[in-house]
Amino acid sequence: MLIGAPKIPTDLLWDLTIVFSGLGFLLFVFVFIFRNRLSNKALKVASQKKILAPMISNFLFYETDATKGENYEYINLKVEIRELLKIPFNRMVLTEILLDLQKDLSGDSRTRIFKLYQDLELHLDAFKKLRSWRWELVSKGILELTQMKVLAAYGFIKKFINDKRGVVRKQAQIATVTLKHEGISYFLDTTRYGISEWQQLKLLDVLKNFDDFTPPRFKAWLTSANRDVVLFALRLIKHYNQTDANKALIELLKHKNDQIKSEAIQCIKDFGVFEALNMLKSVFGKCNVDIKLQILDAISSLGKEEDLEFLESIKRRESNFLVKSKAISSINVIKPDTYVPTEGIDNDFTTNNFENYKQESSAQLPETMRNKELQQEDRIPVSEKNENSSSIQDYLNPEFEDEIIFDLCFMEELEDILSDYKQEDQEAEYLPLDFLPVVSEEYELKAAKASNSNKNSGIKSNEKLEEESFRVELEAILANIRSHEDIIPDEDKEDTELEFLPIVVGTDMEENMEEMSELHEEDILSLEVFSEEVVIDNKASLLHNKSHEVELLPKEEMDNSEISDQKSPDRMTTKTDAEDFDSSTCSNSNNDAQYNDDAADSCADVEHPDNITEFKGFSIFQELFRTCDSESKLILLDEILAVGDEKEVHFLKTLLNEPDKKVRTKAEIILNELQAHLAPEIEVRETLDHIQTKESGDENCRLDEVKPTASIEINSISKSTPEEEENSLKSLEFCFLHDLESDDKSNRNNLLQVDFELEETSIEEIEDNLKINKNK
Amino acid sequence: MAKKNLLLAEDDELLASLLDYRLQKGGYNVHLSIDGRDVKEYLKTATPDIIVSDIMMPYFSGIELIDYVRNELDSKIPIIIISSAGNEENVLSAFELGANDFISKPVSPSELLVRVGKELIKQ
Repeated sequence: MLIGAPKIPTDLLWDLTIVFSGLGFLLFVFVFIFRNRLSNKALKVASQKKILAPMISNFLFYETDATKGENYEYINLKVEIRELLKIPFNRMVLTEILLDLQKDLSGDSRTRIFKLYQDLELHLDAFKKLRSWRWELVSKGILELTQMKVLAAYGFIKKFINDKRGVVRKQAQIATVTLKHEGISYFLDTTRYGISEWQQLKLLDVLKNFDDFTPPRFKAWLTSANRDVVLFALRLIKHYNQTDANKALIELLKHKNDQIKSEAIQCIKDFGVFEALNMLKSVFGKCNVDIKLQILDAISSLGKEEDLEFLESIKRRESNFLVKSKAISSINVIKPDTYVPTEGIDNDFTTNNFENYKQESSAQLPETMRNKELQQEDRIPVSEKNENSSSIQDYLNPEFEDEIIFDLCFMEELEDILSDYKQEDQEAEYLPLDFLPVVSEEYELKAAKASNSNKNSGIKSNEKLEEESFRVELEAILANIRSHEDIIPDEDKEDTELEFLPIVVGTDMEENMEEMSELHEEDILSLEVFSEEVVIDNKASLLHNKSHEVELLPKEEMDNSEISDQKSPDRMTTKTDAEDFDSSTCSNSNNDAQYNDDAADSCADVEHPDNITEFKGFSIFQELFRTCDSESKLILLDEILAVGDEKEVHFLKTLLNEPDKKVRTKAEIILNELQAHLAPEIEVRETLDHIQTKESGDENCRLDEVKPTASIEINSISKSTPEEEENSLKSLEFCFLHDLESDDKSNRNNLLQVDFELEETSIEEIEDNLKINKNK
Repeated sequence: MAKKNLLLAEDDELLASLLDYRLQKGGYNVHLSIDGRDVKEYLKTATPDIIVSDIMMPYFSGIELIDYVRNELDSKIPIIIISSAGNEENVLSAFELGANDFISKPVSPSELLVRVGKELIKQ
């Protein structure tokens, strides 16, 4: 059997569509018409108000002593308005106007409005509303009559006090209380329904705004069967402070209702009903926690010492924490300080402990603070001093409390930081710092700082430098504050990493540090700034290659320049700088001294100008040889041949005593080859030395003829005066040769950015030129 | 004696007409404005002897009116403010800006008349 599609009753659907469409249309029309009517009515009312408002103004401000014309006008208006009031709409509009105006006006005008309202018999319309079956109309009628103070309506309205319709009832209750002073009594007597909290507040507000109102004795309603009436009466008793209801209040403590009980307790407490104490104690056991708390509160304000026993028993028996705490609190109120805090109290503290604390703290205080404290004490009379020393509160005078606490905290923090630093210092192996020059007082700090920067092994970072300067600062501050000594770290610690550094000037770190510790804080701060500048300018300062100038100077001048170079703080900040400084000075000296001597020996060499000639160049390979194995040494020897110069010759000579035979043999071969390779250069140098020696006798003698024909571009960064440039021309070969030496170092260190462009035949050309000059 | 010009700015038409009537009866030429814009327009063309203004007005509040008169017009015309009860903050602001007096709603027309007279005497 096939299942066919259900038959759709299209006719029915069409009918339904038409019906619903019609309903929709009708609804639309209804809404449209209704809205139109409302808006039209509003417009009509507004326009009618504009007509009636001036008339009302005329009525309101009419005075009996008006002129004849005004009287005539007033009479005409009265006739006119009576005609208008025959129309209900006009009556409604006029009523609205008067109701609005009575809200905005006060005084005499308002009274006139009430009078006018009744004169025009508008209140009759309100009475008609009272007879309506619609609750909203009845409510509106009651409100209108209440607002317009129609006393005649009181009798009609009070019937609605127990109306079953809540809105009407509440409106009637307010109207009854508002219209007549005795309304409150009637209301409390007759009301059978409950009175909401909100309604009670509104009624209370009405009563408050009464003029010349003598409230009835509300204790009369404490016996009401209506619980809310009793409650409202209690509140009114409290509001009007009616203290004649003590017995009733005591009786109400036994009321089953907690709200009434609570209000009664409140009244008892406020009115000081001492005779209620026994009843309060009696009912206490059967009450809930909230009431118990209230009772205890009342007892605390009313009770005496004989009530403490009761409170003590509550404290012992009561399991509820709040009640127990309240009992203790009440006891303390009646008898202050009966109970003091016991939980979490350290009983070790006594007034004697404070003396110890004072001694300890004063011992820790900085001297300045102690002086301040002593001065403070001096100003206080002896008797007061004794009193002061008896309590911490007194001692911690607000004037100095913060200062003392701050100082103690600061000292603790400072000592922690310093102990950390000292610990670090002890762990670290210090370098011998006595090689650092203290040339003048001006540079003492700088040198000290520079030497500090060389303390730790390896190249110091800027952060380390900052830490060091910070430590120095802290130490200096501490020294100033506490006049403390011996904060300078031990200088005798050894470090092997920088042993090769020359000791230029005979000064030691200890001296520097002692001097430094004497400096003021400002100096230290300036030092800090200086160190920052050094860090920034480090690279630039290193680019300034003074070695060219040094080469040209006589021995003594060179020494001075070395010293001045060493004075330069730029070159003393990091180990890299010191190393660079060291290598440049040593290479400039062109001596044959062994360089792997210890630092002390080097120091001795440099200290004496005569020994400078003995000073040997430092080979970079020397350091590499220390750490590498034999195979690496052989490779390095090959490299020496490729890039080596005179310094390497010296170094290779030292390798002839190498225990490893392979290395020793290869060193010998390389030495020979290198010497052969360097022979022309040495010859040129000797020649130049010879010429220079000759030249020294005649200052005006110029060596233009020995100027190399080869084009040599020296892109030195150093800035020299024209005179210096002129002098430098005398020995360009020297510069060149030196630069050949320093080139390796500069490349190696990647610090001296000196570029050379040297033609392949330059040395040969120089030699040729020299020969020609000799022949000449 | 020439009547004093009084500008009454009140948006409640009923109250405005009532006060207007009372003030006119009290001997003043009253210009009634029902919003702030009208007040501003009027002040561009005329200078009243005294201004009685409600604080809460559409477009241009009484506070703004005081500010306009005192700062933009740089005028010392006495200004009496009408404010509703419980609007103390606005009243204080009005006094800070230069209001001379205030009267709270519900207004007593007779009291207003007395205050206006007092302010004019002060001037």
